[in-house]
Amino acid sequence: MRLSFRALISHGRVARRMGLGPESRINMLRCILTGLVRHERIETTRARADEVRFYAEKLIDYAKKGDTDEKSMRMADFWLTEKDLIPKLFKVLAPRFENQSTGYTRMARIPNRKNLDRAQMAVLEYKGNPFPPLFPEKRVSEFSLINQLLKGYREEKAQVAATKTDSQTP
Amino acid sequence: MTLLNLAGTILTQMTRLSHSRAFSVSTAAAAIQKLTRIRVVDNSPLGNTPYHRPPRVIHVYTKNGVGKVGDKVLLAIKGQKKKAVIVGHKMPGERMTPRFDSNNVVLIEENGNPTGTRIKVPIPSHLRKMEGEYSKLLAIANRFV
Amino acid sequence: MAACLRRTGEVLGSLRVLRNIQQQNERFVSTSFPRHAASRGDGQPPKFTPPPKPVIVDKTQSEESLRRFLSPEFIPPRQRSNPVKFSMERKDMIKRRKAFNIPEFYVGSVLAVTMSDPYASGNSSRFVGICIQRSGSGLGATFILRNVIDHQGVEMCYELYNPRLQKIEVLKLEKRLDDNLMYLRDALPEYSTFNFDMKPIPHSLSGDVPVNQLKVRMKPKPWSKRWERPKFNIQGIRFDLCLTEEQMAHAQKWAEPWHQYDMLKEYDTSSLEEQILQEVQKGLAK
Repeated sequence: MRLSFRALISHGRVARRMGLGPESRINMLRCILTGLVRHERIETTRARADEVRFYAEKLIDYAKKGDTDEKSMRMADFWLTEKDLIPKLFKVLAPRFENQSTGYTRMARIPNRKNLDRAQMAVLEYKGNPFPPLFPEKRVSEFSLINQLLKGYREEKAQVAATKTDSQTP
Repeated sequence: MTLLNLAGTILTQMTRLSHSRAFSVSTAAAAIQKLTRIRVVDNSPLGNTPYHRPPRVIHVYTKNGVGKVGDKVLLAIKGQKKKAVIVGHKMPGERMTPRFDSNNVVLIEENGNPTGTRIKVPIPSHLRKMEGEYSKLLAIANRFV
Repeated sequence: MAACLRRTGEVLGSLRVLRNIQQQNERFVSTSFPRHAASRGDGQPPKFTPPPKPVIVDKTQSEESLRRFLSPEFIPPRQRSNPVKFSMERKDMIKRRKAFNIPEFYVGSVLAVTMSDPYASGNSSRFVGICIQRSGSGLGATFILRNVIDHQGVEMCYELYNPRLQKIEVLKLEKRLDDNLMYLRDALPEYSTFNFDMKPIPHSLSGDVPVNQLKVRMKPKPWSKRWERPKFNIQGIRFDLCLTEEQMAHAQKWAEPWHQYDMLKEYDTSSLEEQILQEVQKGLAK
């Protein structure tokens, strides 16, 4: 029993349909990936960012195999349309993620585009990029009221404990 | 055989036009139905004398119009109607049963006796289940697969 | 008189010793000369040496292949299902393999399969053919054997783990240039005919499986599938004999050169294979 390939059922299909067809989809993803490798943080529509994320991480996996590996070089040659980024991929990005095995990218959602299409946007970046962080780090200040009160409480406790041991020892 | 293949290409072209992004579905997916061209495998004179038109099925004696191995069909051969039994088809059937490269058929009389006297082509052995009706047919069969 | 008796007694005694020695040495040497007997010299009977153990050659199980071969149905397909399902299936597969030997074979090898058939004479039927496809995974794995009998092409699809199978023998172990030989349906029938009484060709148990570089000649077009299209990636057809340059160039229109670079389509099974191979070998050895 063979159903035709292009049945309207898309159970189990992981690739989204983008652009004018499979070739167009790959070309679009290539351009976005090249931009990501060049700028290390880009802003696109949510669906495209989600698609590129997988390819970006796989590209880093290939780059980690090394410069001399023929398959990695061909992959990098295909996916990066601007050829001056190939040395950047192998010499900058691959060593950066040496100690990690997965999760080289971060995706954050941003407000919809202001145009008529109101497209859902996202920011995609490689971790360890030189820009300020997307999500501000939560810094706990020592000089806030609660922290000062807690500090005082801890000091008092330490003092009480110290006087107790002094009274016990002689 | 070339006629079969021609019709096959026409069918595949039609499927291609309808959903242009589809891979062609093979024509051998359907079992025997009305207007299929058939190959008569016994040595009866009606089946073996050449005619300018190949024998075609004009009726299948089942609840749905699809004929599998062991079903009776009505053929149009040499301008006459003749009943026949399907002994093998191109469509893949159950797992441990054979699949033949051509749709084979054995001509039969109204009482169930085969017209020819010998069947050279191999016959699927699970036809022996229908011992009662087709015992004479199984008797003239040369080889079972 | 007494001397005579003693002499006879001595002779009889020595004869008995000789006989004993002969009986013990019969298994080593069939001559009457006692070779290994009584080199002790003090008249004591020679030390008992047990006979050599008989070597039992087990002809039921065919020789184990020394190649590290994992049958393709053990490798789970790329699915979202729970891996517990595959491990349970593997246990059942190993259990069946212990009871019934499924030899190593590839697409392109010639096999003879004996299946129990209630409707055949002698309750079993034998089929010989070339394996054109191995598909399915787990217990439902199948392989298709093709042969041309009395100028009629016949294909049988067998399930590897069906209890009706009584014996699978590999008559000729070899690989072909392709993984899928469905194009043999459109090739000349001489490439699919194999004699039912074919003798098994001995193959080496270690080393690489021989790859048959045969390129097949086809019947005139139209074929059941357009085998010249790059989607099928067929190496084993002589296209130069049946297609013109124009037709080959036209077929290349359907080539998708980005396909080999699409990382989404890759399914790397090497680590999975190693794991499963160890598991299967451990299970079969128990």
